[in-house]
Amino acid sequence: MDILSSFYVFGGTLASLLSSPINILILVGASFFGIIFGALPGLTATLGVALLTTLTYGMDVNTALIALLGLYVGAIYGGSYPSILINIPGTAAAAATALDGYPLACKGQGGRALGLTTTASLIGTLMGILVLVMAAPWVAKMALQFTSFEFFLLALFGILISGTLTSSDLVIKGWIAGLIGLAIATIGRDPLQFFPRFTFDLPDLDQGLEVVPVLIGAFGIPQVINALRNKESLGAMQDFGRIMPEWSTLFKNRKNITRSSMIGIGIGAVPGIGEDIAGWVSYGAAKNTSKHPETFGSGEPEGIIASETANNACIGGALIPLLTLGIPGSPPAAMLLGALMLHGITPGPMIVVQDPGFLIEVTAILVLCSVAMWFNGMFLAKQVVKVLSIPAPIFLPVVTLMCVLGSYALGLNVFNLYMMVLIGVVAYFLAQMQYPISPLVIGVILGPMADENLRRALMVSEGSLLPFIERPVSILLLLVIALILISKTPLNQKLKDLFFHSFKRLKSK
Amino acid sequence: MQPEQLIVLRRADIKAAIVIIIVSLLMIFESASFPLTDSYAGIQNAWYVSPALFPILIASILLICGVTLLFKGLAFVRAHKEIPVVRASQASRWRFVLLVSLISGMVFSWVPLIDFAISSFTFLFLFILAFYSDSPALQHKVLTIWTSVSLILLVLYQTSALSEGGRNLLDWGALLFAALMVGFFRQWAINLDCFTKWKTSVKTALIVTLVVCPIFRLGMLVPLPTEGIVIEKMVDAKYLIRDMWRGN
Repeated sequence: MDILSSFYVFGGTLASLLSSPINILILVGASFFGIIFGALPGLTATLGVALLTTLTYGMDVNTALIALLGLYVGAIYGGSYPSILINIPGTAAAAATALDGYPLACKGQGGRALGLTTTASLIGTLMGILVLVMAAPWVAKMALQFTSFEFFLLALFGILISGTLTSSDLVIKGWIAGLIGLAIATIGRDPLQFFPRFTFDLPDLDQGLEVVPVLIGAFGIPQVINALRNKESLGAMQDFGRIMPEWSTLFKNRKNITRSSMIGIGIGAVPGIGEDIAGWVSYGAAKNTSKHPETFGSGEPEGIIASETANNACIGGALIPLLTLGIPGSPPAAMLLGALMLHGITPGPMIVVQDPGFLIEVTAILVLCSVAMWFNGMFLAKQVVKVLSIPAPIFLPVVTLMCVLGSYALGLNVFNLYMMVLIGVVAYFLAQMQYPISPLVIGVILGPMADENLRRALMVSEGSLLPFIERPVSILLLLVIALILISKTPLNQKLKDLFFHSFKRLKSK
Repeated sequence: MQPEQLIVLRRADIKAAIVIIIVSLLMIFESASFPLTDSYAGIQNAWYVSPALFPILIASILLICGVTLLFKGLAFVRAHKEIPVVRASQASRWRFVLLVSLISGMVFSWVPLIDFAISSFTFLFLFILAFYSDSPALQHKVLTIWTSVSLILLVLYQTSALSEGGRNLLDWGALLFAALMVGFFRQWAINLDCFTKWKTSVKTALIVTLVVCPIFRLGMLVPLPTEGIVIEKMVDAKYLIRDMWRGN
């Protein structure tokens, strides 16, 4: 399909969708409920798409896609609300946003943080869409270069980078938190041989621990205990300021936005890895390239923009392998695949031949969804930020009840609640000892992937470790991991000193 | 960070490091019992496909990190012996105990046994009142009552398989308990001059319960953990209204 006819299909789809009031109503409603879903701890984009799929059965394909994509985009963005306002990420994807969003809200700039988040999410989604249209086959081909070797290293990289970035005390504590997460992920039957590991003959542990109760327990419970034990208030309401983002801040961050979008799209395009890791990698890249990295973690807008742009850009990225290869790029995209099949669409290489306009139609729908998300976000931000004026002893017990319901809702298993409390109390003590919690959750999320892919890789190479240093992507990842490790060891300072001394000596000669 | 806080942190690091070392050693020990190179389920294992590989790898790195943390902590504490250790206040400890008791009581005792609407209301009312009133005397009272009732429920849940009639009776008992608590703490609130806070606690607990339960159960079709005398009636009412609407 040439560019002109693509534009024709794009414009036509937009016009036909916007001419129906029902479509507009569904668009706004789905986006609104998506934001609410993302904002409630425990209710994820995946669950939202799953619940909505059954309701879309009677709709035509385009209307169903409006509802599903509207909810998906809204839910990924909505996770940032509780991250910023109460330091409890609504979804794992918004965990990195809490690092700078919450301190900004504590400074009385919750409105500013939400405004920046909303616009950064819009830009991220639009960038993802742009790449989806322009480079889908190329990105999909690149993403397929990832084999078990790279998946294992990517998981390791994700844990290492979040551990390194979030440690406010010793860096080793971030790594320990990540390792604890990986250790927790080994509980249950192993994915290759189905052998029970650390289950202690408890049938409830056979399936391992679900991510949502771990996420809620690790972030929610410590926050509730800490705030009420120390009689802390929620973020400040004074100097609330405007919600519309300062365009100058966004313009200053143009490089950051572009980089974060590319990271989000790239990570989203790799099958099986989602928005969770994109936010962290992008936050890390922003911190490492910033002129003032020391301000990260204390309310730096750059950090919020980086993580929110990346996790929303991931949506476009995740749709690339989904639509061009039929392989979902993230868990909500996997749910979307099921919904598409329910409507008689089988994504894959043949879709371009069978229905050449489909990709452009999806693009038009995504553009509408992201615009609806922005308007909904701007409207909701003003209302939601008022929760900061509710006294913590009234608001946090309600949050606790939502944590209980959220942990139960996904698996409908009371055992998840027990785990939530246990992990919550352990996470509280870890947080008291200045261990970052995010790497622990990232470890639980990426643990099964790391375990399975390490063993698969070694199975392919019959126990040889050589392929790790023979494959280009693998070498690149190994180098980055080695650089992160070396940069945080005392050896790094010695090497730096040695280098500068030799340089000075050479200069004096 | 102040030196007094840092010394507390490093002492805690030493304790945490010991726990990490013990747990990682136990993990290695347990992993060693997984099939390594012998056959499992008719398949001959190689070390690189063994289910023990990843846990041993993780536990070994964790062990190294634990030992490093232990030495770092010991070195710091030895070098700064003269700095006094600051302990958390008694009141703060009590609040922590109350928080853990409220959350674990709700999850381990109330949720699996009592109708979710009744559990939610009781939990929210006592939780909000205890912390909103900010009275240590009231917090102690809530702690004693809530912990005792939760322990009784836990023993009941663990030791007996309740029939439907028994569960209904328990729900009525819990409802009576909730009503008694509201009445009992009303008098306390009047004596402590925080009647408005009592009123806010009752209102919030009631409104949140009345909004959250129908949204999850009827709106999102998520079954609640325990559905008894309130939730079941709510679901019945929904279908009754639906049938009336359809003219059946």
